[in-house]
Amino acid sequence: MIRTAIIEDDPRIAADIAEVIRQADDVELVASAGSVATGCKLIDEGGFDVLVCDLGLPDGDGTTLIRKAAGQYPDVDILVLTMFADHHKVLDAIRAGARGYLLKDQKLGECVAAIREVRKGGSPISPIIARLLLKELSPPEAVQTTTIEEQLSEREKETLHLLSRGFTYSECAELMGISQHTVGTHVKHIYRKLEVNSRAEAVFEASNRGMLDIR
Amino acid sequence: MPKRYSRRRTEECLIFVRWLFACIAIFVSCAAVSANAAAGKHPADVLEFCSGDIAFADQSDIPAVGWARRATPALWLSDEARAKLDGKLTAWGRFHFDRNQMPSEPLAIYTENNRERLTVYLNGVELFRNYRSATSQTLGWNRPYIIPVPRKLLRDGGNELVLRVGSDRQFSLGVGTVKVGSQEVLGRLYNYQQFWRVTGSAAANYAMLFLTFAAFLMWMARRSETEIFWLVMTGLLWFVRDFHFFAEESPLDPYWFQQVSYYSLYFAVAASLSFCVAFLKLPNHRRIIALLFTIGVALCIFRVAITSTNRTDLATSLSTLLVSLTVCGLMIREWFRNRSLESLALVAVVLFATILGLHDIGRIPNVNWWQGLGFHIQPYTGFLLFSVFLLSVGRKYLRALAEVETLNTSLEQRVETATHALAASERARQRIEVEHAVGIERERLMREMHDGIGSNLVTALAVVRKQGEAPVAEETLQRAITDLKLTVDSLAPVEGDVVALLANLRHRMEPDMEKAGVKCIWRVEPCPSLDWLDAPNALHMLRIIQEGVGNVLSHASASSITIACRPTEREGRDGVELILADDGRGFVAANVSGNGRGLSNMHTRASQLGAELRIESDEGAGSKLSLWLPVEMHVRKSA
Repeated sequence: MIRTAIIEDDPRIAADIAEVIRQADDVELVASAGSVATGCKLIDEGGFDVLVCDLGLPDGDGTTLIRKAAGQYPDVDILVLTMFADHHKVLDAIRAGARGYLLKDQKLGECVAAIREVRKGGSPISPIIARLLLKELSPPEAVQTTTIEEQLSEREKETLHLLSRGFTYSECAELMGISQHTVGTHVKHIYRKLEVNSRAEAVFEASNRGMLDIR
Repeated sequence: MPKRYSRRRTEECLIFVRWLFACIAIFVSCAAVSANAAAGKHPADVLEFCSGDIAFADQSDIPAVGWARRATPALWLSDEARAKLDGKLTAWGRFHFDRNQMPSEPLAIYTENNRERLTVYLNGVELFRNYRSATSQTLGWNRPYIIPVPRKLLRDGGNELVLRVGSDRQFSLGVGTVKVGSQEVLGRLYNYQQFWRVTGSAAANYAMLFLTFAAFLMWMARRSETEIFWLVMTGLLWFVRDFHFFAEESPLDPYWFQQVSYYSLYFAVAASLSFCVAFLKLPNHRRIIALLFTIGVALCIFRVAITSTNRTDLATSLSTLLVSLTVCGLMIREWFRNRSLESLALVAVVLFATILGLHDIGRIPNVNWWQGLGFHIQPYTGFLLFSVFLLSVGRKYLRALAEVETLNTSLEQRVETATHALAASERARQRIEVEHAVGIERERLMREMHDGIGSNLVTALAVVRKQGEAPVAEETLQRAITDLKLTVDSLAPVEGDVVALLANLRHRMEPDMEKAGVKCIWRVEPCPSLDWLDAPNALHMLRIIQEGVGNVLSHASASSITIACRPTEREGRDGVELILADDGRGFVAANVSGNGRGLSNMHTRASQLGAELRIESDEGAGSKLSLWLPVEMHVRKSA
């Protein structure tokens, strides 16, 4: 049973998702919230495996909730609810600790499939986001900065490269001679590295500005 | 300064020193060769009187008595004359020669070193005199004279030649060298002596005076350059010193003229050495210069004290040479310290001048160590020193100019580099500004879409789906949302990466293709990025392909759609070709009705994009869309 929590301010969408989850056998809805304040309480109480979180909440930014949840529960998979999956918002969410995204116009059935998929280890990614990740996590030698803590492995680089060229998971799996599931796992690892690096970058920035004494 | 530069300087110095030595060598060998040519060509044709009768008598006729035989030339008769005579000094010299022992060609009398007024008689007849009247201040001591002998005046056997020399009481008196012989040979000797004693030294000294004036103007413009001041003083004092060598008459009172000519020597030497000291910036150069002039004054006083007569004072002359040698020593020490070959060049010229000075001291009548070149070289010494000094200064300024030029060049280069860097950073700044503006605009747009249109569309879609009664409405809503997504994608910073844009389109449309049961065959090759592909152009491109895919999904009844992307050259231009091909039922362009607007929209977008769009299809043979985009946009079509 996948215990799922939802933080979404639009009651209609929240209700629709709750409805679909109730119909599924292997997924259950354990909690829901509609604002940053109630979301914080929800996260503190815990007891969920997957968190579906909206970004544009009435009293603040959803990424703070994602960061909080990712910090408290490393094993929880976080999906961000997005209208267009635009690279800005998705990358910010991944940096905060999200492991995938749900499109708001998706068919509701697909929503449950995505929750199952992320729990199994896979994560969705668009070619543009793959391209931006490749650029950020694997820059040319000359541009490398000290803030990159975790380098991409060769396999992960290859995966990102293929995904950015528009190949689907199954095509990638075929081209690389691995399972589709492994492709998803690679992406999840890549997301984690982006999160770690962005945290390292924040520490680096902070220590540079004298806000933190790291000795 | 880098090593290479100092080596270049050293090489320049070496060239300069070699040049200097070459000049000196040419000068010496010229003098020596012409001396030989003049003196030793026809010794048999010329008779030089080694002795004669000398008499002292202040009268205008040849004296009958008082003759005494002695060696000639008798250059120093002033003391004797002053003892024997009361007023002006006058001496007579008498020589005899036999016409028959002379060559038969035209004869001439040659005489030099007579002090100062000269009258020549042959067989009692006055032949020549070098002065206008008995009171004129003629300077005859350094001048050669040639007097052609009229044939009528010559007697067949013995002939009597008489010279009368006269001078003021404080002046020197002497009977010089007298020669009789072939006018041909003596004429050549006269030309040689006239050139080196008078013409040449006058030319050199007037040239020096002219250059001194130029240097003086230079110094007026730059008073702080002490070396130019000393260059001017060197030229001026040497001219004053040398004037009596070639002047025909004394310009002042003869006594004062003589004193000025004598004493200026010490200051000319002091000024020359001061130039060397100032030019090389020797340590304590101010003190050394002060000392040099103090020594000059001391030598003058010394000379005045020990000579009340006109006797040449050998001690002070030699002291002058000693001072020069001392300064040479200082310059050599400077050379050892700095290895500047300029100091070596100055040492060389000062040493050479010292040797020339010694040559002239040896030629002074009452010193009389040697005859040397047959004339005083001193009028050229000043010129030589001055020329070398002038060249040194000139070289120094040329080098300074070259340095300024180098500096200017490097400055220009730095300015150019800075300008380029500035332009580049300005371009970067503008680009960042544009990107920033695009970013802000995008943010605004996105917020608008999320909060407004987007969430309304999503809500509407959810409602329509739930009701499940209006599939067309659902489809339209879904397409509107997809359109918004494309707009979002066109704004992504992909740096003209066509493949990434196309790939994202595939990603977006994948659910639609799956729903329509159309398999997507993905064939992309690595393509060059299109720098001109900004957000509006990217949207045009995405819309064309989206429309194409949409047409296939709605009308073609295809089972698969191939999306390809590859680099293609067209008409010699590099480009990227996007291909959309399906295996559906195809269409005939003329029959396209409702979809016609869609097709013409695609063409309009393609032409705005500067791209080439080709759509080929035939009944039952599927269709193929090809969009070709150039890598470089030569002539941008304004949208």
